[in-house]
Amino acid sequence: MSQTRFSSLLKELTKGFIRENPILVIMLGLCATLACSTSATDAFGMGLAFSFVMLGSNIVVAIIRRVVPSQIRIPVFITVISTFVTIVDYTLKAYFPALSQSLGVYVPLIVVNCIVMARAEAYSSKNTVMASLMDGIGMGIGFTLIITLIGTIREVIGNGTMFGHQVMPARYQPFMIFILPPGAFLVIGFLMALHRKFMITFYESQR
Amino acid sequence: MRDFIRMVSVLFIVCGLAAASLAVVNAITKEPIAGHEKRYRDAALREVFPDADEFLNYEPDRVWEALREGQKTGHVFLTQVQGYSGPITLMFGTDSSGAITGLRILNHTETPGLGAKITTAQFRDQFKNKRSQQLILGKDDPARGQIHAITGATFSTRAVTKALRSRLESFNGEKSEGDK
Repeated sequence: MSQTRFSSLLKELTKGFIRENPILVIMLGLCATLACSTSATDAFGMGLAFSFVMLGSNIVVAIIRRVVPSQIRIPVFITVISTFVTIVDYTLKAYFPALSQSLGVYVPLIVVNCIVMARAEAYSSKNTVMASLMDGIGMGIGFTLIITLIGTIREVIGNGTMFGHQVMPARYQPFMIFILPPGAFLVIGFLMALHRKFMITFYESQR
Repeated sequence: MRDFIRMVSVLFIVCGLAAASLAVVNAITKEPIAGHEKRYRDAALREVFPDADEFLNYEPDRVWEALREGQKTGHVFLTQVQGYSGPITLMFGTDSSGAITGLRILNHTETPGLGAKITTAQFRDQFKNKRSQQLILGKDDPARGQIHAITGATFSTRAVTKALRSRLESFNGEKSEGDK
């Protein structure tokens, strides 16, 4: 019994990595993904900030899910999410001013990041605290993984650097388009296509 | 009616708890945030006017008087201008002869890789020792212009240059009016 419970919790954790990845599969909250992935460092910071909000809101929503009448669940969820976002925003401003400066307005905008709301509504308002915690961590890791990957690809091709360090030879002429908004769409589109291809062969091999 | 009371009280409690936790976070982070802002501003003041050792806030958060060993040696200005994709906030100093001592971009949302190069030292250093009448792009007025535009970001460059020139001209205007 405990064995199956453990493995089902583990499944809740790992589903966010690839199989139900918030960016590549659920495809919500792409605005933040596109805007904050011009460099690997910014993308990673955004991923961490998002993960914290995701985890906190999932846990609190799961705790209060039975006492909140369904008619007012949306305003309650939004209050919970925006509280966590404000905490993250203040903490970044106080202890990581450089990161806060470069993420700018996108940290407060996590409030309207649809993934957080969607997970509160579709998952943690219907599941136990433990499962919601696992879901939150999984979604956070999945988001951070992919946004950092996008940020790295865009930074390497578009600026010749990776996490601020020069990785391309000095003669390399950066493809400016990759750090401009169209580059974000290109990278994310190719990643989604690769993901689909990989997933289809993976599922067929499982059958 | 009972549903109504329940809804109101749940919402009330949730908002109360949210407000309480935010109050705690605010109390903890208030000082570090204010400290960072002050340190950031002090560092910027020193950078745009390295010769001065004291700054007096002359017009709140817009103009500072730069002092060296108690003697007035120039001014530091904070100004904002519309850039290519949003406002650019910048700070610069001028000595008593009107030459620019340094420039720093505090905040901007220019295109990364193009307009964002206005923050590089290579771009900012060309403003040093220039006077207001020299603050024109070389490509706009080859005879007088002294500022080289960044390739692909003429708009951002022009905005910064114009901000400095017009701020200096309006300040000189105020000063001469005051003298009359």
